[in-house]
Amino acid sequence: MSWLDDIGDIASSVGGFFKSSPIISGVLSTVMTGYALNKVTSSIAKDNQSTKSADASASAPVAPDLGNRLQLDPDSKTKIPVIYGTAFIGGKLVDARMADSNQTMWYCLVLSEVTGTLMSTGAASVMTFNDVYWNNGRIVFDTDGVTAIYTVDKNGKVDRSIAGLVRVYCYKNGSTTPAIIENYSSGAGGNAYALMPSWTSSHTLDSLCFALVKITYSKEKNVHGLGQMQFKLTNSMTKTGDCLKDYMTNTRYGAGIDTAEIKSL
Amino acid sequence: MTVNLSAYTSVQSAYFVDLDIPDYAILHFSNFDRSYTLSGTSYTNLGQLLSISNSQSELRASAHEMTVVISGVPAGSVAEIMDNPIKGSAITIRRAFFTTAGQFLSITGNPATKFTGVVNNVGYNEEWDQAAQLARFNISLICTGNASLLANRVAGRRTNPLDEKDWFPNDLGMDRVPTLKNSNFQFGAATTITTAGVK
Repeated sequence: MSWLDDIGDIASSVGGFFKSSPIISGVLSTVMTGYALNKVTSSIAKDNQSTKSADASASAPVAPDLGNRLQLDPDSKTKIPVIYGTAFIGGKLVDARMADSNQTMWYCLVLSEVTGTLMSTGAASVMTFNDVYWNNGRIVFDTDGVTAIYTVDKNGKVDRSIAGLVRVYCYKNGSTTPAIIENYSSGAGGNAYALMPSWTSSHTLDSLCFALVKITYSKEKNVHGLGQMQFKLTNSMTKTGDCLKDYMTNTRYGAGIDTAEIKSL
Repeated sequence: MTVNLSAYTSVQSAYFVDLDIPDYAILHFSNFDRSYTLSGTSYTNLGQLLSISNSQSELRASAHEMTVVISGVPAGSVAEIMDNPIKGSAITIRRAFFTTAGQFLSITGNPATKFTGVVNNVGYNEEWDQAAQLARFNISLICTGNASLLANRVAGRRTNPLDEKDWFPNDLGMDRVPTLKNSNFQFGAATTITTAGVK
Protein backbone atom coordinates (compact mmCIF):
# COMPACT_ATOMS: atom_id res chain seq x y z
CA MET A 1 0.00 0.00 0.00
CA SER A 2 1.34 3.28 -0.98
CA TRP A 3 1.23 6.41 1.09
CA LEU A 4 -1.63 7.57 -1.13
CA ASP A 5 -3.70 4.73 0.10
CA ASP A 6 -2.97 5.79 3.67
CA ILE A 7 -4.33 9.24 2.94
CA GLY A 8 -7.41 7.69 1.37
CA ASP A 9 -7.92 5.61 4.42
CA ILE A 10 -7.74 8.62 6.70
CA ALA A 11 -10.28 10.42 4.59
CA SER A 12 -12.59 7.45 4.69
CA SER A 13 -12.29 7.15 8.40
CA VAL A 14 -13.00 10.87 8.89
CA GLY A 15 -15.95 10.64 6.50
CA GLY A 16 -17.13 7.64 8.34
CA PHE A 17 -16.84 9.54 11.60
CA PHE A 18 -18.88 12.40 10.23
CA LYS A 19 -21.42 9.99 8.82
CA SER A 20 -21.59 8.15 12.06
CA SER A 21 -22.35 11.31 14.03
CA PRO A 22 -25.73 12.90 13.05
CA ILE A 23 -24.75 16.25 14.57
CA ILE A 24 -21.46 16.44 12.78
CA SER A 25 -23.10 15.18 9.61
CA GLY A 26 -25.73 17.95 9.79
CA VAL A 27 -23.10 20.59 10.41
CA LEU A 28 -21.01 19.29 7.54
CA SER A 29 -24.05 19.26 5.29
CA THR A 30 -24.87 22.87 6.20
CA VAL A 31 -21.30 23.97 5.64
CA MET A 32 -21.07 22.27 2.29
CA THR A 33 -24.43 23.65 1.20
CA GLY A 34 -23.38 27.13 2.34
CA TYR A 35 -20.13 26.80 0.49
CA ALA A 36 -21.90 25.71 -2.64
CA LEU A 37 -24.44 28.53 -2.30
CA ASN A 38 -21.65 31.00 -1.73
CA LYS A 39 -19.87 29.88 -4.86
CA VAL A 40 -23.08 30.10 -6.89
CA THR A 41 -24.01 33.51 -5.44
CA SER A 42 -20.59 35.00 -6.07
CA SER A 43 -20.66 33.63 -9.58
CA ILE A 44 -24.07 35.21 -10.19
CA ALA A 45 -22.84 38.44 -8.62
CA LYS A 46 -19.86 38.49 -10.91
CA ASP A 47 -22.08 37.90 -13.89
CA ASN A 48 -24.39 40.68 -12.78
CA GLN A 49 -21.47 43.03 -12.28
CA SER A 50 -20.13 42.43 -15.75
CA THR A 51 -23.61 42.85 -17.20
CA LYS A 52 -24.09 46.06 -15.28
CA SER A 53 -20.80 47.52 -16.50
CA ALA A 54 -21.71 46.65 -20.04
CA ASP A 55 -25.10 48.28 -19.63
CA ALA A 56 -23.50 51.32 -18.01
CA SER A 57 -21.23 51.92 -20.96
CA ALA A 58 -24.17 51.61 -23.30
CA SER A 59 -26.73 53.76 -21.55
CA ALA A 60 -24.70 56.40 -19.63
CA PRO A 61 -25.55 60.04 -20.65
CA VAL A 62 -23.12 61.22 -23.34
CA ALA A 63 -21.64 64.71 -22.91
CA PRO A 64 -22.91 66.98 -25.68
CA ASP A 65 -20.40 68.17 -28.28
CA LEU A 66 -19.43 71.67 -27.30
CA GLY A 67 -18.13 72.33 -30.76
CA ASN A 68 -15.22 74.62 -31.45
CA ARG A 69 -15.27 78.26 -30.46
CA LEU A 70 -14.30 80.40 -33.41
CA GLN A 71 -13.26 83.97 -32.79
CA LEU A 72 -13.14 85.91 -36.02
CA ASP A 73 -11.04 88.98 -36.54
CA PRO A 74 -11.79 90.72 -39.82
CA ASP A 75 -9.68 93.81 -40.32
CA SER A 76 -11.65 96.89 -41.28
CA LYS A 77 -8.45 98.69 -42.28
CA THR A 78 -7.36 96.09 -44.78
CA LYS A 79 -7.22 97.34 -48.34
CA ILE A 80 -8.51 95.08 -51.03
CA PRO A 81 -5.61 94.17 -53.31
CA VAL A 82 -5.46 94.56 -57.06
CA ILE A 83 -4.17 91.65 -59.07
CA TYR A 84 -2.62 91.90 -62.51
CA GLY A 85 -1.40 88.73 -64.15
CA THR A 86 -1.26 85.70 -61.85
CA ALA A 87 -1.06 85.72 -58.06
CA PHE A 88 -1.74 83.61 -54.99
CA ILE A 89 -3.89 85.37 -52.46
CA GLY A 90 -5.48 84.46 -49.16
CA GLY A 91 -8.57 86.65 -49.10
CA LYS A 92 -10.00 89.15 -46.64
CA LEU A 93 -12.86 88.04 -44.42
CA VAL A 94 -15.91 90.29 -44.73
CA ASP A 95 -18.73 88.07 -43.51
CA ALA A 96 -19.34 84.80 -41.70
CA ARG A 97 -22.56 82.99 -40.86
CA MET A 98 -23.36 79.85 -38.92
CA ALA A 99 -26.28 77.70 -40.07
CA ASP A 100 -27.83 74.23 -39.96
CA SER A 101 -28.01 74.03 -36.15
CA ASN A 102 -24.40 75.18 -35.76
CA GLN A 103 -23.14 72.44 -38.08
CA THR A 104 -22.10 74.61 -41.04
CA MET A 105 -20.10 77.81 -41.27
CA TRP A 106 -20.14 80.12 -44.25
CA TYR A 107 -17.30 82.51 -44.90
CA CYS A 108 -17.07 85.29 -47.46
CA LEU A 109 -13.49 86.03 -48.52
CA VAL A 110 -12.80 89.05 -50.72
CA LEU A 111 -9.86 88.40 -53.02
CA SER A 112 -9.31 91.26 -55.43
CA GLU A 113 -10.66 94.38 -57.01
CA VAL A 114 -12.04 93.93 -60.50
CA THR A 115 -9.83 95.88 -62.88
CA GLY A 116 -10.91 97.98 -65.85
CA THR A 117 -10.74 97.50 -69.57
CA LEU A 118 -7.66 96.58 -71.54
CA MET A 119 -6.25 99.56 -73.39
CA SER A 120 -4.78 97.23 -75.98
CA THR A 121 -8.05 95.55 -77.00
CA GLY A 122 -10.81 97.53 -75.34
CA ALA A 123 -12.14 94.36 -73.76
CA ALA A 124 -13.04 94.12 -70.09
CA SER A 125 -10.48 92.35 -67.93
CA VAL A 126 -11.54 88.94 -66.68
CA MET A 127 -10.44 87.12 -63.55
CA THR A 128 -9.95 83.35 -63.68
CA PHE A 129 -9.82 81.03 -60.66
CA ASN A 130 -6.98 78.61 -61.36
CA ASP A 131 -6.79 76.68 -58.11
CA VAL A 132 -7.89 76.73 -54.49
CA TYR A 133 -5.66 75.59 -51.62
CA TRP A 134 -6.56 74.38 -48.13
CA ASN A 135 -3.75 74.20 -45.58
CA ASN A 136 -1.14 74.27 -48.37
CA GLY A 137 -2.80 71.43 -50.22
CA ARG A 138 -4.45 71.96 -53.58
CA ILE A 139 -8.12 71.10 -53.39
CA VAL A 140 -9.40 68.59 -55.89
CA PHE A 141 -13.10 69.09 -56.35
CA ASP A 142 -15.84 66.66 -57.17
CA THR A 143 -17.53 66.82 -60.55
CA ASP A 144 -19.85 69.52 -59.22
CA GLY A 145 -16.83 71.82 -59.09
CA VAL A 146 -17.52 73.09 -55.58
CA THR A 147 -17.30 70.11 -53.22
CA ALA A 148 -13.81 69.18 -52.10
CA ILE A 149 -12.93 65.50 -52.23
CA TYR A 150 -9.29 65.69 -51.21
CA THR A 151 -6.20 67.87 -51.09
CA VAL A 152 -2.78 67.21 -52.58
CA ASP A 153 0.28 68.83 -51.06
CA LYS A 154 3.51 69.68 -52.84
CA ASN A 155 4.88 66.20 -52.15
CA GLY A 156 1.86 64.53 -53.69
CA LYS A 157 0.44 63.46 -50.36
CA VAL A 158 -3.33 63.09 -50.50
CA ASP A 159 -5.49 64.13 -47.57
CA ARG A 160 -9.14 63.15 -47.70
CA SER A 161 -10.15 64.61 -44.36
CA ILE A 162 -12.14 67.45 -45.94
CA ALA A 163 -14.00 65.22 -48.36
CA GLY A 164 -17.55 66.47 -48.62
CA LEU A 165 -17.02 68.91 -45.76
CA VAL A 166 -15.67 71.92 -47.65
CA ARG A 167 -17.40 73.66 -50.53
CA VAL A 168 -16.01 76.66 -52.39
CA TYR A 169 -18.12 78.99 -54.54
CA CYS A 170 -16.21 81.53 -56.62
CA TYR A 171 -17.35 84.90 -57.96
CA LYS A 172 -15.35 86.96 -60.43
CA ASN A 173 -17.26 90.26 -60.42
CA GLY A 174 -19.88 90.72 -57.72
CA SER A 175 -22.57 88.46 -56.32
CA THR A 176 -24.26 87.72 -59.62
CA THR A 177 -21.24 86.49 -61.59
CA PRO A 178 -20.40 82.99 -60.37
CA ALA A 179 -17.18 81.57 -61.75
CA ILE A 180 -16.15 78.03 -62.58
CA ILE A 181 -12.73 77.00 -61.38
CA GLU A 182 -10.34 76.31 -64.23
CA ASN A 183 -10.41 72.78 -65.65
CA TYR A 184 -13.85 72.04 -64.20
CA SER A 185 -16.92 71.94 -66.34
CA SER A 186 -19.32 73.00 -63.63
CA GLY A 187 -19.24 74.77 -60.34
CA ALA A 188 -21.17 77.97 -60.80
CA GLY A 189 -23.38 77.90 -57.74
CA GLY A 190 -25.76 80.68 -58.65
CA ASN A 191 -25.99 84.12 -57.12
CA ALA A 192 -24.00 84.48 -53.93
CA TYR A 193 -26.90 85.98 -52.02
CA ALA A 194 -28.93 82.87 -52.79
CA LEU A 195 -26.32 80.71 -51.06
CA MET A 196 -24.98 82.72 -48.14
CA PRO A 197 -27.43 82.51 -45.21
CA SER A 198 -29.27 85.78 -44.48
CA TRP A 199 -27.96 87.53 -47.57
CA THR A 200 -30.31 89.43 -49.82
CA SER A 201 -30.00 90.86 -53.31
CA SER A 202 -28.52 93.96 -51.65
CA HIS A 203 -25.38 91.99 -50.80
CA THR A 204 -23.79 92.74 -54.12
CA LEU A 205 -20.06 93.14 -53.41
CA ASP A 206 -19.76 95.15 -56.59
CA SER A 207 -16.57 95.06 -58.62
CA LEU A 208 -15.07 92.47 -56.33
CA CYS A 209 -13.65 89.05 -56.94
CA PHE A 210 -14.53 86.88 -53.95
CA ALA A 211 -15.33 83.38 -52.73
CA LEU A 212 -17.86 81.81 -50.40
CA VAL A 213 -16.55 78.88 -48.39
CA LYS A 214 -18.99 76.50 -46.74
CA ILE A 215 -17.61 74.21 -44.04
CA THR A 216 -19.45 71.35 -42.41
CA TYR A 217 -18.34 70.56 -38.87
CA SER A 218 -16.69 67.21 -38.26
CA LYS A 219 -15.06 66.37 -34.98
CA GLU A 220 -13.84 63.04 -36.31
CA LYS A 221 -12.19 64.57 -39.40
CA ASN A 222 -10.83 67.50 -37.39
CA VAL A 223 -12.67 69.98 -39.54
CA HIS A 224 -13.83 72.67 -37.15
CA GLY A 225 -13.06 75.97 -38.82
CA LEU A 226 -11.65 77.71 -41.81
CA GLY A 227 -8.29 76.32 -42.83
CA GLN A 228 -5.54 78.37 -44.38
CA MET A 229 -7.07 79.29 -47.73
CA GLN A 230 -5.13 80.35 -50.82
CA PHE A 231 -6.55 81.15 -54.21
CA LYS A 232 -4.55 81.18 -57.42
CA LEU A 233 -6.04 83.85 -59.65
CA THR A 234 -5.18 85.10 -63.11
CA ASN A 235 -6.25 88.45 -64.46
CA SER A 236 -6.45 88.72 -68.24
CA MET A 237 -4.83 92.14 -67.84
CA THR A 238 -1.15 91.25 -68.10
CA LYS A 239 0.49 93.72 -70.49
CA THR A 240 2.57 96.42 -68.88
CA GLY A 241 0.83 99.28 -70.66
CA ASP A 242 -2.62 97.98 -69.76
CA CYS A 243 -1.69 97.56 -66.10
CA LEU A 244 0.03 100.94 -65.82
CA LYS A 245 -2.81 102.77 -67.46
CA ASP A 246 -5.38 100.99 -65.31
CA TYR A 247 -3.56 101.67 -62.06
CA MET A 248 -2.70 105.26 -62.94
CA THR A 249 -6.21 106.23 -63.90
CA ASN A 250 -8.46 104.23 -61.60
CA THR A 251 -9.98 106.42 -58.92
CA ARG A 252 -11.09 103.57 -56.62
CA TYR A 253 -7.86 101.67 -56.13
CA GLY A 254 -5.30 103.52 -58.26
CA ALA A 255 -3.70 106.93 -58.52
CA GLY A 256 -6.76 108.56 -60.06
CA ILE A 257 -4.80 110.59 -62.58
CA ASP A 258 -6.95 112.22 -65.21
CA THR A 259 -6.35 110.62 -68.60
CA ALA A 260 -5.93 114.11 -70.03
CA GLU A 261 -2.79 114.46 -67.95
CA ILE A 262 -1.26 111.31 -69.35
CA LYS A 263 0.39 111.67 -72.69
CA SER A 264 -0.90 109.52 -75.57
CA LEU A 265 -4.00 108.36 -73.68
CA MET B 1 11.54 118.85 -73.55
CA THR B 2 14.75 120.79 -73.77
CA VAL B 3 14.99 124.34 -75.03
CA ASN B 4 17.89 124.83 -77.40
CA LEU B 5 19.39 128.25 -76.67
CA SER B 6 22.75 127.61 -78.27
CA ALA B 7 22.05 130.08 -81.08
CA TYR B 8 21.73 132.98 -78.66
CA THR B 9 24.54 134.76 -76.91
CA SER B 10 22.29 136.33 -74.33
CA VAL B 11 18.74 135.80 -73.24
CA GLN B 12 16.49 136.72 -70.36
CA SER B 13 13.78 134.64 -68.78
CA ALA B 14 10.66 135.23 -66.78
CA TYR B 15 8.31 133.06 -64.78
CA PHE B 16 4.64 132.89 -65.59
CA VAL B 17 2.36 131.58 -62.89
CA ASP B 18 -1.19 130.26 -63.19
CA LEU B 19 -2.90 129.92 -59.82
CA ASP B 20 -6.35 128.36 -59.95
CA ILE B 21 -8.17 129.27 -56.75
CA PRO B 22 -11.40 127.25 -56.49
CA ASP B 23 -14.61 129.31 -56.52
CA TYR B 24 -12.63 132.50 -56.93
CA ALA B 25 -10.56 132.99 -60.07
CA ILE B 26 -7.56 131.83 -62.01
CA LEU B 27 -4.79 134.31 -61.32
CA HIS B 28 -2.13 134.90 -63.93
CA PHE B 29 0.97 136.79 -62.96
CA SER B 30 4.64 136.91 -63.85
CA ASN B 31 7.89 138.49 -62.81
CA PHE B 32 8.35 139.93 -66.28
CA ASP B 33 8.96 143.65 -66.48
CA ARG B 34 5.68 144.35 -68.20
CA SER B 35 2.29 142.83 -68.73
CA TYR B 36 2.52 140.11 -71.29
CA THR B 37 0.17 137.84 -73.17
CA LEU B 38 1.54 134.34 -73.36
CA SER B 39 -0.32 131.61 -75.23
CA GLY B 40 -3.37 133.81 -75.32
CA THR B 41 -3.41 134.53 -71.60
CA SER B 42 -2.60 137.92 -70.18
CA TYR B 43 -0.22 137.92 -67.24
CA THR B 44 0.03 140.70 -64.67
CA ASN B 45 3.59 141.86 -64.22
CA LEU B 46 4.68 141.77 -60.59
CA GLY B 47 8.30 142.27 -61.48
CA GLN B 48 10.55 141.89 -58.50
CA LEU B 49 7.59 141.60 -56.16
CA LEU B 50 7.36 138.00 -57.29
CA SER B 51 10.07 135.59 -56.29
CA ILE B 52 10.20 131.90 -57.02
CA SER B 53 12.59 129.50 -55.39
CA ASN B 54 14.89 127.26 -57.35
CA SER B 55 13.52 124.07 -58.76
CA GLN B 56 15.11 120.68 -59.21
CA SER B 57 15.57 119.09 -62.56
CA GLU B 58 15.76 115.32 -62.45
CA LEU B 59 15.17 112.62 -64.96
CA ARG B 60 12.79 110.73 -62.73
CA ALA B 61 9.74 112.24 -61.13
CA SER B 62 10.76 113.28 -57.66
CA ALA B 63 8.84 114.89 -54.87
CA HIS B 64 9.99 118.41 -54.17
CA GLU B 65 8.57 121.73 -53.09
CA MET B 66 8.73 125.24 -54.48
CA THR B 67 8.02 128.50 -52.76
CA VAL B 68 6.37 131.40 -54.51
CA VAL B 69 6.50 134.68 -52.63
CA ILE B 70 4.40 137.66 -53.63
CA SER B 71 5.51 140.85 -51.94
CA GLY B 72 3.97 144.26 -51.55
CA VAL B 73 0.42 143.12 -51.13
CA PRO B 74 -1.63 146.08 -49.87
CA ALA B 75 -3.19 145.61 -46.45
CA GLY B 76 -6.61 146.19 -47.96
CA SER B 77 -6.26 143.07 -50.09
CA VAL B 78 -5.31 140.73 -47.26
CA ALA B 79 -8.86 140.03 -46.18
CA GLU B 80 -9.85 139.09 -49.71
CA ILE B 81 -6.87 136.81 -49.98
CA MET B 82 -7.56 135.10 -46.68
CA ASP B 83 -11.22 134.64 -47.48
CA ASN B 84 -10.42 132.45 -50.45
CA PRO B 85 -9.05 128.94 -50.29
CA ILE B 86 -5.61 129.41 -51.74
CA LYS B 87 -4.48 126.30 -49.93
CA GLY B 88 -5.12 123.40 -52.25
CA SER B 89 -5.20 125.54 -55.37
CA ALA B 90 -3.57 124.16 -58.47
CA ILE B 91 -0.50 126.02 -59.58
CA THR B 92 1.51 125.87 -62.77
CA ILE B 93 4.75 127.74 -63.25
CA ARG B 94 6.22 128.16 -66.69
CA ARG B 95 9.48 129.71 -67.69
CA ALA B 96 9.63 131.73 -70.91
CA PHE B 97 12.75 132.96 -72.68
CA PHE B 98 13.12 136.34 -74.28
CA THR B 99 15.85 138.24 -76.02
CA THR B 100 17.53 140.93 -74.01
CA ALA B 101 15.29 143.35 -75.85
CA GLY B 102 12.24 141.51 -74.51
CA GLN B 103 11.36 139.69 -77.70
CA PHE B 104 9.82 136.25 -77.14
CA LEU B 105 11.99 133.48 -78.56
CA SER B 106 9.95 131.41 -80.99
CA ILE B 107 11.80 128.17 -80.48
CA THR B 108 10.63 124.70 -79.71
CA GLY B 109 9.89 124.15 -76.04
CA ASN B 110 9.48 127.79 -75.15
CA PRO B 111 7.80 128.39 -72.73
CA ALA B 112 8.80 125.36 -70.65
CA THR B 113 6.74 124.05 -67.77
CA LYS B 114 8.83 124.34 -64.65
CA PHE B 115 6.46 123.12 -61.99
CA THR B 116 3.00 121.63 -61.67
CA GLY B 117 1.40 121.00 -58.32
CA VAL B 118 -0.85 122.42 -55.65
CA VAL B 119 -0.45 125.01 -52.94
CA ASN B 120 0.26 122.98 -49.85
CA ASN B 121 0.55 125.82 -47.37
CA VAL B 122 0.21 129.57 -47.25
CA GLY B 123 2.14 132.00 -45.07
CA TYR B 124 1.47 135.64 -44.42
CA ASN B 125 4.12 138.08 -43.27
CA GLU B 126 3.48 141.70 -42.40
CA GLU B 127 6.08 144.38 -43.05
CA TRP B 128 5.70 147.87 -41.67
CA ASP B 129 6.80 150.64 -44.01
CA GLN B 130 7.82 153.38 -41.58
CA ALA B 131 8.34 156.01 -44.22
CA ALA B 132 4.99 155.50 -45.88
CA GLN B 133 3.30 154.63 -42.60
CA LEU B 134 1.78 151.58 -44.30
CA ALA B 135 1.67 147.88 -43.61
CA ARG B 136 2.45 145.65 -46.52
CA PHE B 137 2.23 141.91 -46.66
CA ASN B 138 4.18 139.10 -48.21
CA ILE B 139 2.33 135.96 -49.17
CA SER B 140 4.33 132.78 -49.34
CA LEU B 141 2.82 129.92 -51.30
CA ILE B 142 4.51 126.64 -50.46
CA CYS B 143 3.76 124.37 -53.36
CA THR B 144 3.97 120.61 -53.56
CA GLY B 145 4.59 118.78 -56.79
CA ASN B 146 2.23 116.19 -58.21
CA ALA B 147 4.74 113.45 -57.41
CA SER B 148 4.41 114.27 -53.70
CA LEU B 149 0.65 114.31 -53.98
CA LEU B 150 0.62 110.87 -55.53
CA ALA B 151 3.03 109.56 -52.92
CA ASN B 152 0.76 110.76 -50.15
CA ARG B 153 -2.46 109.79 -51.79
CA VAL B 154 -4.48 107.20 -49.94
CA ALA B 155 -6.26 104.98 -52.41
CA GLY B 156 -7.92 101.63 -52.29
CA ARG B 157 -11.13 100.23 -50.91
CA ARG B 158 -10.85 98.91 -47.39
CA THR B 159 -12.97 96.09 -46.05
CA ASN B 160 -15.41 98.14 -44.03
CA PRO B 161 -18.94 99.40 -44.69
CA LEU B 162 -17.95 103.07 -44.88
CA ASP B 163 -15.48 102.53 -47.70
CA GLU B 164 -17.83 100.17 -49.48
CA LYS B 165 -20.72 102.62 -49.33
CA ASP B 166 -18.52 105.42 -50.62
CA TRP B 167 -18.37 103.56 -53.90
CA PHE B 168 -21.48 101.40 -53.77
CA PRO B 169 -24.03 102.98 -51.42
CA ASN B 170 -26.58 100.17 -51.66
CA ASP B 171 -24.23 97.26 -51.02
CA LEU B 172 -24.64 95.54 -47.65
CA GLY B 173 -21.84 93.05 -48.27
CA MET B 174 -19.42 94.53 -45.76
CA ASP B 175 -21.90 95.75 -43.16
CA ARG B 176 -21.05 92.98 -40.72
CA VAL B 177 -17.29 93.50 -40.65
CA PRO B 178 -17.37 95.62 -37.44
CA THR B 179 -19.84 93.20 -35.84
CA LEU B 180 -17.78 90.15 -36.68
CA LYS B 181 -14.63 91.52 -35.10
CA ASN B 182 -14.01 89.49 -31.95
CA SER B 183 -17.39 87.79 -32.12
CA ASN B 184 -17.60 84.11 -31.26
CA PHE B 185 -19.16 81.17 -33.03
CA GLN B 186 -19.63 77.87 -31.20
CA PHE B 187 -19.18 75.94 -34.40
CA GLY B 188 -20.44 72.39 -34.17
CA ALA B 189 -22.03 72.77 -30.75
CA ALA B 190 -25.15 70.81 -30.08
CA THR B 191 -28.21 73.00 -30.30
CA THR B 192 -28.88 72.49 -26.59
CA ILE B 193 -25.67 74.31 -25.78
CA THR B 194 -26.01 77.99 -25.23
CA THR B 195 -23.81 79.79 -27.70
CA ALA B 196 -22.31 83.18 -27.28
CA GLY B 197 -21.77 85.90 -29.81
CA VAL B 198 -23.25 86.22 -33.23
CA LYS B 199 -24.68 83.23 -34.99
